[in-house]
Amino acid sequence: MLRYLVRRLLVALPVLLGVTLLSYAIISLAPGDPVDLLIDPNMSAHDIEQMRIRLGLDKPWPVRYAKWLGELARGNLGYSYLTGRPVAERIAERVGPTLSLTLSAFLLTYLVAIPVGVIAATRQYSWIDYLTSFFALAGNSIPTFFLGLAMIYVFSLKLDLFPTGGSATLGGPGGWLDRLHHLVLPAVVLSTTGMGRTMRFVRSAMLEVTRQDFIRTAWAKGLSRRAVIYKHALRNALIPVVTLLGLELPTLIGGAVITESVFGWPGMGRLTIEAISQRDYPVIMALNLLTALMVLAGQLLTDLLYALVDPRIRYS
Amino acid sequence: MLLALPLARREAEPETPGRPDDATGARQVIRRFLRHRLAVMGLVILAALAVLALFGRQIAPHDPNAIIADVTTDAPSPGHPLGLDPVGRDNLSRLIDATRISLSVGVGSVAIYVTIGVILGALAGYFGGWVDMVIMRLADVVLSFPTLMLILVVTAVVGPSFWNVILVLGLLGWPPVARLVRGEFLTLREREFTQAARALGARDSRIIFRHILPNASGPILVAATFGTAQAILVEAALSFLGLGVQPPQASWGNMLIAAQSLTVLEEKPWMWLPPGLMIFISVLAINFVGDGLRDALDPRLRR
Repeated sequence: MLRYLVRRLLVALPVLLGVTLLSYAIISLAPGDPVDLLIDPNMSAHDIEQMRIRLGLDKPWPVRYAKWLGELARGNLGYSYLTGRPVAERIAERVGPTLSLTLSAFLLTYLVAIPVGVIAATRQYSWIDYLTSFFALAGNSIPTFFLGLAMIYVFSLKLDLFPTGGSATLGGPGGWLDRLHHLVLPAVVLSTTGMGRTMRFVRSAMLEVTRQDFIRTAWAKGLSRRAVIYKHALRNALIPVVTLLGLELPTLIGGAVITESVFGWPGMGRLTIEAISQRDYPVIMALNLLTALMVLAGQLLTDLLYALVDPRIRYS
Repeated sequence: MLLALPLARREAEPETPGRPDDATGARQVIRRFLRHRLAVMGLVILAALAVLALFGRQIAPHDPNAIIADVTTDAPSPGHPLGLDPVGRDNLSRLIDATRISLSVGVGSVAIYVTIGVILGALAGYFGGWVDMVIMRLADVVLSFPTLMLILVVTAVVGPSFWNVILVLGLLGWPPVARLVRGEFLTLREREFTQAARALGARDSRIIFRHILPNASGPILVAATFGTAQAILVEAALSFLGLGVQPPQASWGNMLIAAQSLTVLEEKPWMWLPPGLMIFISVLAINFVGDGLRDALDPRLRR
């Protein structure tokens, strides 16, 4: 197991390197100069040149990339072009909100999708089964930002049940209840796309398992319906569902960009949009690296979980 | 990103064993497709949207970019059933004009990435070895980005515009297609008909294009259909964030920018509800068609 882990990590390294090289190249080869946004009209050509040298922009991009990698190896993510503050600092304050949003959406997805998927499978072709297929298609077809706006319209503006945005009441007493109140709408919106898909996945996994011999044996030996469905069938049906976890992660991180923008949620997604519009390249690079890391970690975690839930799988 | 959605009617439909000879492969596929009610409905909606896209300029009651000065309200009125946008342009005309933009982005970007994906996937699957290694590692790198993040960064860097959105989506979307095609090629290249072609002295290019690719075309078509729906969603999101199609050119996504103001969101739903619904309906219609195609092309997938 340990050897497998080490090998996987070694394989992930070149992929990560490729991700950083690709993002660095794209950013550097793009027309437009980040210095243009930082200078004010009174600066002389000499000052601008000085600034260029200070930011390291006077060297060709492969040299800059090598330097960036060297700094990264020492744990330095660089400095923001805009504020001069360390990038790590700027990102650190945004990680918490994004994690709480994506994790809640994640939990919500599985807490709803697994029971509903099981019910849909045990009552195949019933109204609830059709409802899940409609929900899956609709959830996959509705634009996240439109759903977010519609939710704000209905639940915040018309019914006044939830705040329209932000992660806590400004100048309010704060507290976890207030934060939870702010979290509900964005988490529901973010989970919608994946929820329908997961329901259908759980459903078809259940249908597949319930047709197998050991389930017939379980019925035949007189086990209760509960024991058959929830103990024998569900446990085995959840094995393929685990693979879905890794697939959903990039979607969630990507979806967070839009959800955070709609709800003014102060997370990494909104920081991405901000950094992009400010051409703050060191911040963009760090965000790319971080999200790629999260995606790779998610994939690895999925494979490990897979072995955990299915003892037949052995990695070596 | 695209997961097969096993949807719609799932009844076991016998494959009319009585008349096996009266239908060729294509006709059987069409017959199975037409049996899928939602897919047919999706196709009808899609046809209507295509008409809007092609003849939008003639159908639209006003110039989509002209500012209407002769009405006192931006609320819906007889001459402007969907009212005016914040700038004072006719919403209905912009909605119609945007159809062409959104559908073009969907079809255009998918055409690009399916072409790239098929070529790279075919090379990787057919030749294997280091070719396969290099191509699939490259695909891994692109797939390690959350797609939307990468698209956001690249469109921002190259400058947001209609053509750049098509290009960026087209150039970054190929890895899943390449994986799919590679998988098909890996199995198909070992089949008897391929070996027969090789034994007869066919060149690699002939085997790839005449013998293997046609047999892999079903899954590719299905992936392209779902991909078009996805591309329309991404374009809408990009345009909504100001990183896609730029005003004054209308796109469904950028028409929703107005709703970022809470006053518009609360008091002027005619400005944001119709474009949002148009995205939803067209993406839903394309997904229905994709679902029907998948069932029709591969009856083994029916459960």
